[in-house]
Amino acid sequence: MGIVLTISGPKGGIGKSVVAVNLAAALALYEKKVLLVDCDPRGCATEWTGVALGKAGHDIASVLNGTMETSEAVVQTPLAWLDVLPAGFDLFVTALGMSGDVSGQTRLRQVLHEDASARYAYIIIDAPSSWGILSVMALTAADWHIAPVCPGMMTGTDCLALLRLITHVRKTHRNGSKIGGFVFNRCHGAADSQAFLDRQSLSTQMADLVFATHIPSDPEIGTAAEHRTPLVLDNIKSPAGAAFLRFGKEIDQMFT
Amino acid sequence: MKHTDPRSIQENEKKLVDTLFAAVDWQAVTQLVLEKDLISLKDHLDCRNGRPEDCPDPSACRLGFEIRVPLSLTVDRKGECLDIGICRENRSGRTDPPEKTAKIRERAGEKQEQLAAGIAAMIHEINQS
Repeated sequence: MGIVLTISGPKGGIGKSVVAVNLAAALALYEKKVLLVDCDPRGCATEWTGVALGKAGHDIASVLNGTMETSEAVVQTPLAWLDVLPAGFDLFVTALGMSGDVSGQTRLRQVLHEDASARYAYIIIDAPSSWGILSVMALTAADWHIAPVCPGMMTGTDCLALLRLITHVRKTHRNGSKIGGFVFNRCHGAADSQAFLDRQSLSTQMADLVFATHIPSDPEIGTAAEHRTPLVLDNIKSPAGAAFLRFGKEIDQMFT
Repeated sequence: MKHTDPRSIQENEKKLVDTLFAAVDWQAVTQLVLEKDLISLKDHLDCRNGRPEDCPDPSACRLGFEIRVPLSLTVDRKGECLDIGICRENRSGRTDPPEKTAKIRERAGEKQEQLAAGIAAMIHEINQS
């Protein structure tokens, strides 16, 4: 059975899509069969992986509203080991329709476990930052949560907000998910992350859960997004590209 | 009954302060301010200048800001820092006394400790159960 990792965070711009797309591509480079699930109607992960929403209905919205099987909706990428379940504006409309139904919150978990889990080593979900049904759905589907931390944009309050949401989901849906760790984004090494943890008085609480890999600021990330190619494929030697490759290895070692 | 000229004392005190100002290691003070996390985004930000940045993206522009905060620095006779702090102005525009500022900082510290304890409890609850 594949491992479902949800890349989650309480606010936009901290690097959820960057981490989701590049972790997925890095794991695929290590020849692990990966499904990247875009759970954000903005479709950042979809766009970044170069997947076009041309074929009507081949997206996560169709899977959630039951008009298509996951296996039919996934789109293959040029990287043989990486498939994408794309998202677009239809996901927003579908989510609106599901928002009054509590069972809708477990729908993504259900379809991924029934229809995709056996075919992939890793399923990586790019969660939206809003506190709506899509966030809850993405967190409920998770076996493990990976949370990007961007020191310039976040405080302990943001970390607490995410933990509250995860706790709520665990209690409501008893999914047994756990926190895999915190990955520092736009951060130049352990000294920077330690300084952040010290400033927020979180060293004791979070240090054990901080991944060894730190993702540095790197203009090549923006260039790769413009090229609609994950950075690990667009420029593997760039500082962030190399970091994502290391992160992929770190994640794979953690779960195998 | 005065035993000496008070103006002489005041003038020499001013000279001492001016000498100290001239000798302050501003880099060390800046470092200390950053380490102690004394600046917040509530502090007054002045735009200084701006210029287009020499990079491939023509829309890039480097902007300079000046953060102004009323800083108090207490040094001993050896020049070592005894205390450093921000004297923030209250709503009436007056600067709070150092004791009040210390209390505010203490309360903020307590709040941060509570937050950290909350995070620890939740991480434990999530990952141990």
